[in-house]
Amino acid sequence: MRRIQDARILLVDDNPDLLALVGSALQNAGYQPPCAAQSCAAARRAFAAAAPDFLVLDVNLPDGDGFTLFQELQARREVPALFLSARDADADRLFGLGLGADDYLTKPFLTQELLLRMEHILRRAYRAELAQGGALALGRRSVSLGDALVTAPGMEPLTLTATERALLQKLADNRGHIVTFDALCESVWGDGYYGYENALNVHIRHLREKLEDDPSHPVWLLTVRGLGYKLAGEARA
Amino acid sequence: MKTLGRLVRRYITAAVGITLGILLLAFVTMAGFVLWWDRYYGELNAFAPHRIAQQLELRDGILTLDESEHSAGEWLAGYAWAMVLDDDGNVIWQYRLPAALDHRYTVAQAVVFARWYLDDWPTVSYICDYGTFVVGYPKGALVRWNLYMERRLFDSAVAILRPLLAADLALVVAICVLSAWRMHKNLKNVEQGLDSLAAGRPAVVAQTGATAELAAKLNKTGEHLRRQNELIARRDTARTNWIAGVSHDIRTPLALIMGYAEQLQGDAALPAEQRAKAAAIAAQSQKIKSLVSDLNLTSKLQYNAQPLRRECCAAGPLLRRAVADFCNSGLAERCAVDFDIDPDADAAMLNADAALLARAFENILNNAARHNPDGCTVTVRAALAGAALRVTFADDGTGFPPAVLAALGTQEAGQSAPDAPHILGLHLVGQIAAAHGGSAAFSQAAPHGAKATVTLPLAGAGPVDQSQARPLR
Repeated sequence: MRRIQDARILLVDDNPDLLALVGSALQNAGYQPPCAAQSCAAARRAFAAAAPDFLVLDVNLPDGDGFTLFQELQARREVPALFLSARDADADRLFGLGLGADDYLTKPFLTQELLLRMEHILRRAYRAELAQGGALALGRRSVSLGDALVTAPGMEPLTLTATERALLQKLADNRGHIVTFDALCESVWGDGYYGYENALNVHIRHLREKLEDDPSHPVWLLTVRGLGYKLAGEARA
Repeated sequence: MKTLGRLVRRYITAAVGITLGILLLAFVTMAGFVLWWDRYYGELNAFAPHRIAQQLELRDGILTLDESEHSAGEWLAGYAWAMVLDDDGNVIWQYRLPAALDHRYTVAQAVVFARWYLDDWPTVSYICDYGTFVVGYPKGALVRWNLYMERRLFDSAVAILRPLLAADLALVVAICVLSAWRMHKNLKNVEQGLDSLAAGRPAVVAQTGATAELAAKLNKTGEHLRRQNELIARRDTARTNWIAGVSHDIRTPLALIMGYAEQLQGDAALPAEQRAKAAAIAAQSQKIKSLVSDLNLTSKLQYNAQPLRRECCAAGPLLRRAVADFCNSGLAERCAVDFDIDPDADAAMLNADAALLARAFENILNNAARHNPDGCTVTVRAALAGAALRVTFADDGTGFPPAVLAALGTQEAGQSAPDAPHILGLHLVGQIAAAHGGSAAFSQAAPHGAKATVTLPLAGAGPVDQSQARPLR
């Protein structure tokens, strides 16, 4: 898979209208036409035939429930999955996520939100494969997260440290969105990140020195006062 | 034990009061009787024997009653007869003395009538200068008896009187304490029954003793309340389930409406007017989505059908995440957010359901964005206030309409008047804060805009002082 849009997606929902809606949204976003199933039995057949890269599962299905189906399919092959259900109780969400699903989105939903969540999950799950085919573009600079290298025409390649690479990966996964100090620290130092806030500032400064033309006036790695940092969207490029 | 002490005091006070009351009543009755008798006696016998005896004098060697002041009849009114005996027992003066009594008296006869009667005539004797003055009352007018007691017996009786009174007093106190204890025991049962009712548990009180009737009525009331609570619980469950069911069933159709509206909105092939209409459908669908979600949650919170998944979490990351999520959403395009948190508040720990609190913060921020279509700046400040975290959201927009502010201060979910403003989202903020032992207050910001203050107790602290803000159910 060189691009996220190359991912084979299996949609399982008992409502054909919803399948058509999500299918058309995916195609409009550049994805391959997804496989669609309206029951557990159809989903099992489609899973075996299409070998999907991603699952979007409803919970209430005519011949079973999405949770059991998810467990069955995962037992065959581990595939990233997102539950898309009208069941909004905390207990359902926690149960679904507890089974190992990557996300749980309740209906009604914004198709844009669904696409973004899918994109994040796919980017995380297939990071290694995607890294071979793409680089993070920051203006004239290009960052290969797989190799932890920053390159630019007429410039010696710069190497990212492990911490800088992890921080940039987190920001890239959420490109265009604010990532809080806490989320960044946690991505690098885990749950016990308290006390690393100053270290985070130092690493961000080093990252800016490698990514920005003028680190004092950053245009890519932006500070959101009091909240965290944001990697500016590709539109800036 | 306080109640028992009070009961003992009351019983003893009552016993002392009753005793003193009876004594006083007896004294007053006796005094009245004596006064009445004295009045009657005074009319019967105008003068006492010693006074009459003083009126006797020797005139020419003959003993005579001085009648210068009163006549003999007046002096001796009420008496049957009178006589004076000399030392030899001879009658030396007499007044209406019956013939049978007019003789010489021996010492033995004198001793007998001095103590008892003289031929059934009650008599009183008085030693005067001329001998013994004796008056006789009409037969049957007086009852005489002589009292005497052995000295040792009298002394013993006086000696035993004090410990006897002390024993009586102790007995009275013991009876009071016993009675108070029994009453306290009965009242304790009734109190436990009332406590059970107050806690919503069925009350079964033993129907014995002085409070048996009270206990019976309490049991009846408890049974009545239990039946009512069951009915209310069934109704609440049905209502919550109905709302949850409707909100579930509406989700998939709403998802389709939102999805297709989004696609039409972004379809470059459509005219701008059609795309604007699709955008309006998408926006309104989004509003319905929020309403359905808020209605479902507020219903669950109101009827305690929403279990709180509380865990210790730091306030700073929780707030930053909520504000960042808002900034990352489409609504934030119209709003700028200025976030500031004190270092103490940043590290403060809350025992909270993080998802619910995030929902409360989201509702406040979304409210600011939705009601200020021309944009505004929301200032989020968090600081410690004693043992609580105080988070203030103030925007510089148009502020709350007065009706909304009034409704937020007084309205309870599900009890709004038909024409009341729709404040479900902010109402939910108050409910979530209250579920965490905190409160939410809404006011106008200075110089203009809306202000919401959420106060939450820190982990380990008790509920916040509710007098500072009006919590919503």
